[in-house]
Amino acid sequence: MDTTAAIFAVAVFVPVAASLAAILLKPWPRLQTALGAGGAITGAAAGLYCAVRALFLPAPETWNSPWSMPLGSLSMSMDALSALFLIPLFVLFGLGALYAVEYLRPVPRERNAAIPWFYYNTLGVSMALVVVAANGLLFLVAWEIMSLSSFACVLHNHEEEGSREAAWIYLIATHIGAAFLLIFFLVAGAGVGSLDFASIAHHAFSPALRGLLFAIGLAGFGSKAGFVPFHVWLPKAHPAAPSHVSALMSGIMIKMGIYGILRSITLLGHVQAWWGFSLIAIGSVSGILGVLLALGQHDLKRLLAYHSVENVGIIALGLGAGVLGVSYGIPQLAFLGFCGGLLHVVNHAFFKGLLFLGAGSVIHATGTADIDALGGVIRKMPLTAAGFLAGSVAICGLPPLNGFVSEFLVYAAAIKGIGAHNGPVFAICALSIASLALIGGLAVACFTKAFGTVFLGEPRTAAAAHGEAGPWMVIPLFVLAAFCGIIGLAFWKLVPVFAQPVCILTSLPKADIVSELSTFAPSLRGIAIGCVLFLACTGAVYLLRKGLLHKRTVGASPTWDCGYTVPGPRMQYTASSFAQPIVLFFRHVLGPVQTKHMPASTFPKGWSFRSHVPDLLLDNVYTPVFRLAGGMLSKLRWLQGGKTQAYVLYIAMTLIALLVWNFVWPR
Amino acid sequence: MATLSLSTALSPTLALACAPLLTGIIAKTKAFFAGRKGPPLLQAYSDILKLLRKGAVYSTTTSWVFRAGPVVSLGALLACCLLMPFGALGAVLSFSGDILLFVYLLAVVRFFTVIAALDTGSPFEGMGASREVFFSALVEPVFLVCLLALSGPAQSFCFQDAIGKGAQISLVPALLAGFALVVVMLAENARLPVDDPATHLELTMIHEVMVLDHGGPDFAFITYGASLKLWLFGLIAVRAFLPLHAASVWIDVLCTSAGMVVIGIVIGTIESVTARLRLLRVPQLLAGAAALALLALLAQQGALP
Amino acid sequence: MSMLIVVLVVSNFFLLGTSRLRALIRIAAFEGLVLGLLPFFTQAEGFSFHTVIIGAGGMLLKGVAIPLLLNRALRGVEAYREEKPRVGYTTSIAAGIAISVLAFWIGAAIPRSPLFPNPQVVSLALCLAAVGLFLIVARTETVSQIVGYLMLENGIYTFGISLSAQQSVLVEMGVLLDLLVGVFIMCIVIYHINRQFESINTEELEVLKE
Repeated sequence: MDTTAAIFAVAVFVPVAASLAAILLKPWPRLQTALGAGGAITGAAAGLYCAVRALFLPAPETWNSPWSMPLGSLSMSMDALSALFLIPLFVLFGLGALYAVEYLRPVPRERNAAIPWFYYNTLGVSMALVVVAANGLLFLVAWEIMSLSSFACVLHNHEEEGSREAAWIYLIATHIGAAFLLIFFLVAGAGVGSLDFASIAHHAFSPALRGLLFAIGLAGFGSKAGFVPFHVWLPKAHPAAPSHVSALMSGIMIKMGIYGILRSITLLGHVQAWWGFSLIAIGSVSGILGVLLALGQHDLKRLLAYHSVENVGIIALGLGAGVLGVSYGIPQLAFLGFCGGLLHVVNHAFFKGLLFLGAGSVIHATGTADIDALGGVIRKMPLTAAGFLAGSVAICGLPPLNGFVSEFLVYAAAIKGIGAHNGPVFAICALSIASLALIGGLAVACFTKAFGTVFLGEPRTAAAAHGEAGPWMVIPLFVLAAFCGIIGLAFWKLVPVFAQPVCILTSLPKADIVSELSTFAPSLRGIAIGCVLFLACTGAVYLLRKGLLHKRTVGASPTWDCGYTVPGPRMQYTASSFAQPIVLFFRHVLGPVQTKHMPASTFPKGWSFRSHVPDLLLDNVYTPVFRLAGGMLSKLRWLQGGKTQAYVLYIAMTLIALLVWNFVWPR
Repeated sequence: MATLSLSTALSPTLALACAPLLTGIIAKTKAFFAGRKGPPLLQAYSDILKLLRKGAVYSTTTSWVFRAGPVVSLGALLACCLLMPFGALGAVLSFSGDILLFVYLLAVVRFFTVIAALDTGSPFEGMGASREVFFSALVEPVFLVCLLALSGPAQSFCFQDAIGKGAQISLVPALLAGFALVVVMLAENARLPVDDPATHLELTMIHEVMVLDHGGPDFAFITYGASLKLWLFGLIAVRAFLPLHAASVWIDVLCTSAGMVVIGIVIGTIESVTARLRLLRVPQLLAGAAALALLALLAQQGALP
Repeated sequence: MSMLIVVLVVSNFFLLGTSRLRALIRIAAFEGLVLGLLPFFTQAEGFSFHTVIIGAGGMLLKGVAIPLLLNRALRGVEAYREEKPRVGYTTSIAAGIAISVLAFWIGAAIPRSPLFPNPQVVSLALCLAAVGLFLIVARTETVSQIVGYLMLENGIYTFGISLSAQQSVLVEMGVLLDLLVGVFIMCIVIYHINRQFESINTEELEVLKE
């Protein structure tokens, strides 16, 4: 046990220490990069070892530090549930570091090359701490470090106005979420007298308090996970951050919200049915709205960010079904729902990481993230295009990649719910199936749009004609694509891994879970066989085509232009026009804005057309509310006068007040 | 999982062999309504064979994605054929949840057809692709809910129990789902009143315009794939209307085959007597199908009488 | 009986999805005819004087007389389709789905009692009435609104035949007569609105306010 603890300590301390040391070495940027990346990769490897090991342990591994801290002990614990989150975390953390070696070059002369590394490594490590924390206070501290380091990462391009605005919105959103979490742990800890997870889990809360705590937790963790209506920070923060950070934020950090919800379910015990109903309802809304908003975007990374909203929606659909299964005592439903949700957590980390890194390569090469300015990138960047295509297929949930397997499990859970002969469960599961199907169809629309407009056709602007990314930016893409393929084809072999985490979540006996698993095994094997058959058929058709075209004339000509003599790249369908029918159909939900200046006279001088899909929630709800709040709070501005003496006075007053409260106040 | 035997191997063989015949029946019916003699029943076979004998011409704009499109699409459709039972004849691969694999393999077909179309950089093909993804996004929930209603009280979500030999569904939900499935079939296979494959104006087409630039063996794959897809959807619709329990497998097969001929004639008749809907009206048709599908699901659950 | 109910629920969607006024009248007539068959299945005594009166009376009035009147009213008027519905047709169908699900949910929740031997018929009644109300709210043409009232009445009628009590026949006849008179009046009103505004769109009536 001690060796594992030591290895985990390596995973936590080496990345931070290496990048801290690198900060001092400003004259040698190459050395700084090597230290930062080397530290991250070492830490990732060490952490991965611990996590894989913990996945198979029957009992959680706990480390209690000799240091004490208020409201409990400084304890950490790694069970199978944490391990399931740690594995994609460390994989993506390591690969992102590898990618960033090239992505962060060239470093401007006036900048310290180690600073982004420090924030990146701190972000990775703090998320690992969040997952292993077994005490509320430690959890909150790690959570705050995670939020602040990611805030610093979002500020990477702090010269840009948009970046600063994004970071500001992110900071506000994350702290509102953190406020809920503070209340959550204070209320939970008040009854128990300790913030140790072990003590909270043993405490029997009253049903009303349990429900209240779940609602508070759902708001706090949901704002990190990006559930609608707390999603507004995502599409701002992800595009502003460097791509390897976006990958980590979207792939892992928003999953910390999911982890928090799951952990609070295990802490509160005895789930209530309405938790499941609300999770599924939130999941459907987030899923559908996420993909619809993604369809309307022109910025590649913004589009991907909205897709994260969609994917946490799918995760919520799975987890909601799991909660319903536990509360109504349907073990199959519980197993399938939780298993699907958890697998989608892992899958989304892989394919969304892949997509963000791929998008980063395109942006790095071309200097623009505007989809409608790109086109034909596949010719200059064939490897990146192949990786992005794999990610697109996976995120649409298409066989034979991993997205299909997790969506299959979520579907299977909902189908079990429909057969449960319970009116409300039937209704919510039918909703879940219909929304999953709609999400699936719209995701295909969205990713054919993204892949097709960015990589295919003719370059729309000169910027789109730049070369391939270097090997350090390509290798991570292919490693992640390989993970997608392996999970897609070999999940029936991997599924026992999920027994222990589901066991923790459902508090069902392990034997029950294993028996559910064995009844479901034929389906999983069937998927694998089906996917292999699909690949075999495709291979056969490919060989047939090759044989047929052998020794025949294969000519080349321009694309069919319907007789028009001067077709140009600007005549191609743009991303906006591709999405237009769908955006128009859902106009009551999306509120698209069109600015058009149409040709008027016989010889028109100029015309333009621009469409934009705003985030109605941000524009119509949050902005006015915060403006109002800002207006009211500005009356307290006098407190911050800029005089250092005044600040010292405040500190002294606080100290005196605390002393009075602690010693003098009559008890 | 069914093991490979003579009877299970027969269902995909029938699909592979007879799918273009269904197109022939439709063409004959349309010719009858137009008062023409029409092309021979086996015209589709000779078309495909002729295309297979040709060379190929590729647009200079395209990349490997364009060449991969028809190959992957046909591969996925062939895999779909292996999942589909022909009446009481079982499917080659059958497991609880195979319907989902089927639906998502069809999504693979769509994904690769669409990106192949976008690879040409042609505005027409972009337009067709845009319409295709829109309508199929709306069709997908309807299709799944129909199949859910058909798959009966067992909820195995397996073709065997939905439309194969294990089917045990009552009349009302089967009829409701059947009508919704006919709409789904017409929309997914680019038939009237959603799409008119016979039109000559690129601006009004959906599916045909996406494959304008394919030729030679690639186009043969696409044509053959389209007839396979129509066959598979037709089979589902026929079995929804024919929830029979014949004493012998061969009577069942005979009835299903007769049903396939009838569905060909029905499609031909619909195509002869209706006009193409305005594109804006298509979602309305699909919403109607969604209503039917939902009622079918409710009826199957016993919520409806 | 289940077939009748399903046919009625499905034809509701046609009502919600069509923009053509004549189709609207035809579907309403069809629903009236089908509804007339319903009492033969719901009432315990099957064929009896009571059911024949209710059924045949309903069929005659709602399936034949009122549609004929409406058609006659339309004949003199240049109106073929609903031009500006307040709620689009796709949305209307979606609303119809919601209405049906809700109605059958409520029907399933009604406790079993001898008063309501057929809870599904109660659901159907709710469904018809709600669709009628929806049509009245969502459409602007006078004819569509009359069809909406007709559907509302269909709902009440269905509710009446879902009761086992014999007295319902009196209530029923009273309602039917009211409706008949109402349609007469509306037909006259249509004629006059049309002569005044050269349209039978009710939004034209807004100019009558101050």
